Amino acid sequence: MRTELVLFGRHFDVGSQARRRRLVVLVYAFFGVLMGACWFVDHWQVIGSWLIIFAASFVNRLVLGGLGDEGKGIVKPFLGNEVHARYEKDPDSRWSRLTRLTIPNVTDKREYLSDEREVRRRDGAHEVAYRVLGMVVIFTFLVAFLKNAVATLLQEFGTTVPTEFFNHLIYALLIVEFILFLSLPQSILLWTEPDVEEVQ
Amino acid sequence: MRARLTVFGFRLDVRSRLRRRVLVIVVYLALAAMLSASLRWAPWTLGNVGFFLVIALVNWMVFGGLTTRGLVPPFSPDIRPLWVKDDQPPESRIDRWFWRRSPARKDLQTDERDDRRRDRAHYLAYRFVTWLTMVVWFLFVTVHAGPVFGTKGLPFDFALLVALAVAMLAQTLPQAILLWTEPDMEEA
Repeated sequence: MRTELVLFGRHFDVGSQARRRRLVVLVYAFFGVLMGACWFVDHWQVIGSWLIIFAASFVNRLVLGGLGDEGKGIVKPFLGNEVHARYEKDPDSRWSRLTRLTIPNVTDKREYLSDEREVRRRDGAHEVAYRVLGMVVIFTFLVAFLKNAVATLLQEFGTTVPTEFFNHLIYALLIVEFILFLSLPQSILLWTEPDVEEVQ
Repeated sequence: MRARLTVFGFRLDVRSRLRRRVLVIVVYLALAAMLSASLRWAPWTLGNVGFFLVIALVNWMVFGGLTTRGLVPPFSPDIRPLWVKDDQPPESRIDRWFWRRSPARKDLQTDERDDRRRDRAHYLAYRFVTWLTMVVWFLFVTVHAGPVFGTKGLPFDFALLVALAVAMLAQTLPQAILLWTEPDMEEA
């Protein structure tokens, strides 16, 4: 994990756990505000959806890291070791030359590769995130089921269910899942990693 | 990981990787058949919720991981059985019924290697389920928003099928990866 975040030319020290936690809170607050704003744009349809997709991938690549092979962001790329191993196999191949062009620091072992401890922490963070998101996925399905199956039953008894409300709720849950799937393991890593000074 | 599986009184030796792989394929084929049947005859009814009970049953009897029975030991120390076979037999007849069916302590314990393999399996499963969730979102975008990306909107049942498949994988994929990749037990 890096101790410095470079964003639009400015350097931020993220060596302390407290600062990293503040950053995680800030990132999720931003996603919350973005979702709210996109609702007012077009109820998360064309523009709203694409705004969220672009913002989520942009924030993940430039701030949190982990996803994407370029190695930007605080967390080292999850696939860094795999990309490096393939590069080392034949550095003169067309793929390797293209990789060197798009990922200049692919040969920088300290910046790009994860050591044994980092790989273990990465896998552990995914285990925790998986359990959380498994519950969210099931919850989304249950809401969708309630909307479709129970609504029909209730209509027979003269009670109407606000279908539009449920549609938007399911859709909102899917957007939340999308954002969490892209960002949760990295956030867990940033949240739980102790102060870098302590480790040293 | 357990070497023997007992389902409805039948004992199956699963020490060999090949057998475990066949078992994983059989389980997923059965689940896929059940999923398509529940959607064919009863979309958006209690049958779909019943499908989750089937998944829970599969985890309880075969896969494990999220339960104290099954081949894979519990993923978390918080998943504990009511009774452990190594305990003294309880007095009450009902408790004894559960105690007789409880796992042994050695089946619940995991070592450093097991934990590492568990985390690795979750990492691999996470990447796969992430892509699938994006597909689900895209499907629901087309269902929800109608003529987006030049489409007319997909049938809701199709989106439901994919959503159910993702929910199924979210509950079973790490265990299946562990069963699939663990080498033959003699070799280990």
